[in-house]
Amino acid sequence: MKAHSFLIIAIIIFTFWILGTVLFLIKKRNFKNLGLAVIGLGSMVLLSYIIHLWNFLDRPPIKTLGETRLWYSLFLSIIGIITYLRWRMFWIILYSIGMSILFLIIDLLKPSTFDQNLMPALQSPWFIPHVIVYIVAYAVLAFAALTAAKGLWDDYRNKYQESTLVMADNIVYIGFAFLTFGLLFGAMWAKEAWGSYWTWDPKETWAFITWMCYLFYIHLRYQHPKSKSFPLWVLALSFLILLICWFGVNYLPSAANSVHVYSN
Amino acid sequence: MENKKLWHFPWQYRESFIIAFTLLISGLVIEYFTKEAMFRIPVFPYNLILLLSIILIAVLGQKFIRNPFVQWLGSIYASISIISVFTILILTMGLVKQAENIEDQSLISQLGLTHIVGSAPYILLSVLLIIILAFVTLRRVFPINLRNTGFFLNHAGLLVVISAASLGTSDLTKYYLSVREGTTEWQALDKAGNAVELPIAINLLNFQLDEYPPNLILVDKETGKIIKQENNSKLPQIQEGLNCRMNSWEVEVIKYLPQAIMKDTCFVKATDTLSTSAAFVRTHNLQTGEIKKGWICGEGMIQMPMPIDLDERTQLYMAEATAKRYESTVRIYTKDQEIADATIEVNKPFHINGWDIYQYGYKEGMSSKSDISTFELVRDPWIKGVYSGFYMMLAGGIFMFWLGRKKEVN
Repeated sequence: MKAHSFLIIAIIIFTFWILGTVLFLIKKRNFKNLGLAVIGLGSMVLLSYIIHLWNFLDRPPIKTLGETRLWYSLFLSIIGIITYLRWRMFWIILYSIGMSILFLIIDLLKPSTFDQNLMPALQSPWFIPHVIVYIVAYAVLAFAALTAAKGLWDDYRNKYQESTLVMADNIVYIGFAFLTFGLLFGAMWAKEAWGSYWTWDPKETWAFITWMCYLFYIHLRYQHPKSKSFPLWVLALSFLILLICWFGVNYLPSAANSVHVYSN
Repeated sequence: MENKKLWHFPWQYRESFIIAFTLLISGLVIEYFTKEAMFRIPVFPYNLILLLSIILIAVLGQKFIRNPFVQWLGSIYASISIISVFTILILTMGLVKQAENIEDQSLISQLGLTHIVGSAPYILLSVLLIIILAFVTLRRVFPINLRNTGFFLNHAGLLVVISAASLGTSDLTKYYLSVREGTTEWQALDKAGNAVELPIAINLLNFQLDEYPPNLILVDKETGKIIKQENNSKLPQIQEGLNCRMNSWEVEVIKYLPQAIMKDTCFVKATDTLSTSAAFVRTHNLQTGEIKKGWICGEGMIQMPMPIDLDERTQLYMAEATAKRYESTVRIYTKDQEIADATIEVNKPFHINGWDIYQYGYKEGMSSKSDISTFELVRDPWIKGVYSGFYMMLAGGIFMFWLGRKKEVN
């Protein structure tokens, strides 16, 4: 499998997604559903690529940062469609497809060298559930961040709607649940692999901080359901912490020897 | 809205944050002025007594539910303040490099910030967290309402995990044991390197190490760094007959000897265990047309890795083989004359008599890489408590996911 074949596949996916979004925005009957279907097709192409990569590497493609970006892109596009169907706000599709395309572009610009070898610690039935659950959590919480961004933008133009934070609450509950699953699966796996369920490894520490930030948001909203500016900022900043946990750990000097640093 | 006077009940954000920050700062001050750890978590049974006391106080507190202090302990204000301040402490842990034995005199180190876990601020804030969690949880237990199930699972679950994990640290023991193939060991080392005699002995019958075939890599002679593959996304794995493209070269593996020994200028099949991997390769520079042939080998016990110079700057190396799988077949003896046979590998520990035995690693022995197996032995009596908490939180998570936040969009 050559590197430039990924470029071709990415272009195909982008075509479906962009075409689908354009169709979706046309205000005539049935174009919305047609647009969603075309977007869905693009996601299926990405899914097929991931499955192909799985076969090619003979191991699940969730070891390197580049590989996790593929899943992220896939889940963002699918969750975007599902969230739109639930809440019916058109900007959800724009934002989700935009983010999905962005992550694939990052992958094109920074390709990982795939390496077939999976070290013994990663050969565990916990590997896939732990990583997938976290990727779903990150995708869902990215949505919450997008919602916060929209809320802040609306507030700036004095057009804020309370429904924005209500929707964010629901999204955060789902994302937080998956975040909890990821944290606990990781702990239970760690106990099987190296005898400790928690070692305050930098990645674990930042995962815990991320978890606490969203916990703070949930309690804040519980107590102050009417407030708008502060919770919106909390939501946006929590996502920043999440990004530090996801990518930043590789670059933080305090984390140099962590087992969670993605392989190069 | 009238401004409430500070410390008049009901306590809200100001009082809550003052209390939480006071604990944090007191903890830092204690760290600064003490050399030895001031707080140690007591061992069994005192840690259990401490936990039960806290729970008892929280239960009794429900009788005095109208008391404004009890109200505060179970309030959202107390919760938000302890969540915030504890997170600030952990955030510091995420930004400052942590190490157990830092002997430096910097202010950060003297405040305990280079070893936050187990430090005074950490313990003080953890205790406050447990107390508040206990009061918050119990507040919604009676009258029993099934609608509170999700709330209970999440809060009680977290309480169980944190209590069992932190109070159980004092009862946690870890030992490291290295055994040579064909021998029995009953003396292990603890984390500090002290020798300890164990109540169980391990006889290593066989240690098996499987490695992945080594990869071919291009290295920059000047920087010593690996050169990225341009046109193929997969690192080539050595096997006889392999034909692959690595940047400007075509590489063919003519012969591959997984166990080889150097003889004159070539490699031949090794007959004993002092071996290394070697391959005879042919390289073709696609730009200049230059063809080279020669042996490359990986690192061995008595052998340095040997590359081929492709040009002035680029070398073709055989990368160190990585472990695919390793396992130990053992026979375990206990002081009570019990004997157990087991196969221990990574992710598959063996449990006996309250001990968990893990395949920790392996060492290079006298004659080969896979002569000595190292095990980690862990005893954690509070683990069942921690896992119960985990299961409660998992169930609580499912409630959150399923029910979401009740309010609907208008």
